[in-house]
Amino acid sequence: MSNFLQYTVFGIMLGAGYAIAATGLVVTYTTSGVFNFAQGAVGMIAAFCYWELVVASGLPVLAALAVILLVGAPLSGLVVERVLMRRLHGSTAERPVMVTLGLTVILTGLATIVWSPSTQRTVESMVSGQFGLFGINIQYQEVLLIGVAAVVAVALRILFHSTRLGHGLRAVTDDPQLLAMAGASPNRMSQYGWMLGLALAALSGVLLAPTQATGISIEAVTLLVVNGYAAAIVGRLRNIPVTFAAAIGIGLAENYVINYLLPHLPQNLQPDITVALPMVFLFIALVTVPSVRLRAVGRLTTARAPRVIGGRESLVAGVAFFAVAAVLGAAFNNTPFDGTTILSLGGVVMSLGIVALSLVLVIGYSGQITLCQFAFMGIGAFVMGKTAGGGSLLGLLAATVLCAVVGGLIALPTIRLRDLYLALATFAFADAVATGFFPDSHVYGSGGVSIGRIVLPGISFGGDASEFLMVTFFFVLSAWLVLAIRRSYFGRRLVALNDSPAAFATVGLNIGATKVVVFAVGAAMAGLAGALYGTVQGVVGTTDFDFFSGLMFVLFVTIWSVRTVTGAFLAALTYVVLNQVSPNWVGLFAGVGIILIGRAANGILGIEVLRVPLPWTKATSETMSGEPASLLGVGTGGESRAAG
Amino acid sequence: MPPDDAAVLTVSEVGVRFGGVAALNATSLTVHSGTVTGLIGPNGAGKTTLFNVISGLQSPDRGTVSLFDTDVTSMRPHLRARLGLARTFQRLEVFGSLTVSENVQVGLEASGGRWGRIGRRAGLGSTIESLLDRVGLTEAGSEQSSNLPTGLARMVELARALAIGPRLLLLDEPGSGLDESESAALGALLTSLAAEGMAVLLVEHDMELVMRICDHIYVLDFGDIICSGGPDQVKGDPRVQAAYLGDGAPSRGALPRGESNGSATPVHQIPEPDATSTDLGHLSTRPEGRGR
Amino acid sequence: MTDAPRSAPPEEPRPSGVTHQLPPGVIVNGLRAAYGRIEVLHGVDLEVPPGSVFCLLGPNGAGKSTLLKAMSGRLRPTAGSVLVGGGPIGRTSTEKLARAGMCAIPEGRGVFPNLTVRENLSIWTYRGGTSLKEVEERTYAAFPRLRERRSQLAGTLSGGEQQMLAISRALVTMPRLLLLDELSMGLAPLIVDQLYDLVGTLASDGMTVLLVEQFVTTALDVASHAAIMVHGRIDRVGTPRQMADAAFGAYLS
Repeated sequence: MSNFLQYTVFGIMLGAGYAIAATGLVVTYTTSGVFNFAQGAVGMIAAFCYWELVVASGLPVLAALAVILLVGAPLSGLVVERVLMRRLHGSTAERPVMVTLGLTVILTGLATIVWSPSTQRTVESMVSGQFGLFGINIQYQEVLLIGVAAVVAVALRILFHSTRLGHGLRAVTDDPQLLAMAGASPNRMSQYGWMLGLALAALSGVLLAPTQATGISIEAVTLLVVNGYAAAIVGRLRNIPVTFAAAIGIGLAENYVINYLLPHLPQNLQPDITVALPMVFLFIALVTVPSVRLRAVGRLTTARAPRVIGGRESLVAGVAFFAVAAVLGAAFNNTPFDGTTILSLGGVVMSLGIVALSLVLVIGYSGQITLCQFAFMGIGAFVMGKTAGGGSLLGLLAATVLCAVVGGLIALPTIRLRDLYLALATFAFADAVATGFFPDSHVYGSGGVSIGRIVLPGISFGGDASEFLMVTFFFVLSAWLVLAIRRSYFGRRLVALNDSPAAFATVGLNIGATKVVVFAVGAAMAGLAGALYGTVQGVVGTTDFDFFSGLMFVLFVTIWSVRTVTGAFLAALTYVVLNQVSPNWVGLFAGVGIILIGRAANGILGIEVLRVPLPWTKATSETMSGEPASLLGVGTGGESRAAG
Repeated sequence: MPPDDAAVLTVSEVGVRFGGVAALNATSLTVHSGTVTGLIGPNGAGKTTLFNVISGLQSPDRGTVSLFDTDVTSMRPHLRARLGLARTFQRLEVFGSLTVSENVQVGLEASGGRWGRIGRRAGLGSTIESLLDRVGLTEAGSEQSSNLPTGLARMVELARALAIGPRLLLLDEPGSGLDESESAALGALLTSLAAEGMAVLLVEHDMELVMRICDHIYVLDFGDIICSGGPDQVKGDPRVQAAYLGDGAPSRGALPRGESNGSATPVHQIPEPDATSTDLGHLSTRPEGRGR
Repeated sequence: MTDAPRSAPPEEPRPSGVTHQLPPGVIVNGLRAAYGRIEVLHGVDLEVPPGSVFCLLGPNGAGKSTLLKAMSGRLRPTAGSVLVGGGPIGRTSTEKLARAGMCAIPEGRGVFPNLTVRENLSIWTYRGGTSLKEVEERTYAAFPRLRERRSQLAGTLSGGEQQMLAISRALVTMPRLLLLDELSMGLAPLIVDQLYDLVGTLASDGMTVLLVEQFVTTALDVASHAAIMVHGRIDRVGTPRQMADAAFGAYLS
């Protein structure tokens, strides 16, 4: 019984921390329409800054809190809103997702540079000591956290319901234009929303840091705050009291599961389940809570879609691409470079290129935001390594087929999810796989899995060049396939689904079935890519399919252009090259990229000035089509006028 | 409403509320094959909501919808389409990144089924062409549909709807954005579709068009059918005039029919250089090269 | 609402720069506006004299709402200009125009549905110059029904009550220029009469009103000037009665 009470108190305390982060999310979402994926990363940065100020520099606790919560976080909110978010008003769903995800990977990357993960950093409780109550020991820190959460709840309640600023913050959710017509600035409201949201994220990070007994780690604190996401979803991204209650519930459920359920499960699964738990909660919340209609100030459509590449043209381009690769392969056969070989890096580019192509299919054509392609890649590589002793064509086939099945299965519960919700569900799946499944000793564990090279009877793929060419062959094949899909009935269906789900359904097409198929095909491609990646690398492990790397890669593809095959290739190329040079360059590219995403809907390849040299990427200029069509005046077609 | 053999659509007692506001209260109507049925009413009367209920995009809070003698109240939209229901939208819902032909092609392929698609492959091009001809988009086939002006984009939606081979066609303001001759052609098209046995339910603000081609008209106001009957019956109904003209309107004549008496003079306070005429029915022309 | 005095007779156009004493007039010159590539206003020329109640009629899709959007800074015109009180509004933001005395009430609902009536009224104080208490008093005096519903979410009000709440913004902020978009849409004639009576009263207190309607309504009773807009252009201008007679003919085109 006293154990139960102890777990309950600890659960409520964790929940209180999540609640603060979750309300921050809700505040930002309601005022600016952007779900801030970077909420966790901001909390993490705040926790490390707190450590830096208090532990390393010896500043008084209150001074440090003031610097972080009253200056640092609001100022960051101001900058983020002004530089990154303002241009995203009324954009398609994927751009705000990519920008805030980009912020996440950049902040975690930055933290890794500033605070080397090899040092242990422990944050002491702000208040020490404990007292006994009903036979259990309660830490003052626990009381503090719960108390702060309660104060935050009450303060927000008063702010939103009893002050004019609060009314304005809620009004901007309903109708920003009307708010402007009443004389208030919607942009200013969004700014306040971001300032408040990030301050709450920072507060939760600082308060949760001391719960990390073994010291704060970048990934752990980031994902700790992510626990709040599920609560925000349960609160349907607008209801703060429900969000609070859900956060407490999640804190409790987490503690009960860890303390009561886990001991009955096999020993080796326990740590995996513990880390994956938040994502499991998020996934459950997403598929069970009825999704709200997401805000969009107006739908942005690309006035000119990227050109559809013809069959002959794609064949010629593919052959030419392969020929160039063959020449390069011959020239650089077995050339060492920076601890590896040039062609081995080339193979990595090609295999990642296939993953990027799967993103073109799933995000670019059908508009379904997926963030879990690296998870499929990891599964594919694992299957490859475990099939027929590794390095067989059978393994390639098994990886492809199995990933198709898993992809379809993941799509099933998420069929009714759209846009942000789908992004969150795939985010949860990707993280659960990367942190809960891959590190398991039966999967990659700490050592990794040896994949082996593909040996075909009569043809040796043992050499450096021949292996590179095999992967290149599969890349060209995938590119040709993606372009062929775009020209096919199925491709038209995907684009139609993206353009108008309402018209899609009312001409008799099944939205759910189409989503399942496109997810399955995309997952199959990623699985194949993973298997090929494995054969190139020889041995792969958990770090190859790291969660944050997966997010960074999706970001790269979006920055280049998620709607074109060229964009896919350039994304893979720059990602591999920059990573080879220095992770800092990856972060820099991403940083510039997310600013660019707000300004060029179709990525770098969609920018008007680049349209001339790259005829297959003529895109970008945007039109607002959020207006009722009935307002649009007379039909003034110059050609072919008369109806009937 | 008694069972009706020729009825392809029966809506009974359908109610929809958004928050505290009732968009539809117990609305009932019937549509028969081989006829054009009009659904008119002021803006905000609930016409589009009713279309969404019929096509399955909005579930009603109460009441039933039956299509071709099947209760479809809880059937998903794509299955209703496969029964033979097609619609267009007031807020344009073309597949904007696809060309005009591809829009129609998706409609054809959606209805063809696996074998039909392959069997019709050879005839596909000519089928698309004939559908585009029918709605007056003969030469626009390779245009990206988001680049079309509204009126033509509406015709793309109509062609796509016809492509699925519907028995019941719901049209939400197909005439807005069309000029006089286009609107006349649309009227002729709808009449000929009805003559082929199709049922057409038409929401339209162009009263002249509605009165000319509809066999039966329902008038919706505040979510209630306030009147129904033939064009002449509806025109003479005082409730309709009240709904349309408002009480105390200076002009209390019958519903629009005749031409203006021309007592007002067209005024151009500040004439613009390229305006040839601002008279009634004047056709504006799109300046070439704009937006390129 | 009693029988409101009808609008004041049109005043002489005043020289610019006197906006602080007199309600401003509006001059629209060759205004063009587009949504993306689709042009909706093909060069609108319109003159709304200071202190007038100007009723703009036109069929669905004529571009009336678009014109109001361009005038209130919600849509950037592609060509032409809008002069309010003699000065061009240029790229002035919607909120600045509002604070300068322009009150635009959009089509459909001019209220925040997820805020209570009282919270909506609190937003009306953003324009400055009034306290919430005053705003409440004046609104409830004009629309006693709203007092009973002050703690109710605006989205749960009837259509008429929502429109009352929307127009209360014009009542309590005393703007100098009022732009009303389809006030009568979806409302019972009795309520429309009541609302337009209020508009008439407001106008007689000295404000310029531009109202847009699709159908011929009571609006014309309170109007001093009228025009018909068709296909993105002003088709004709005249007295309200002339325009009422001409409207249906114009709509048929």
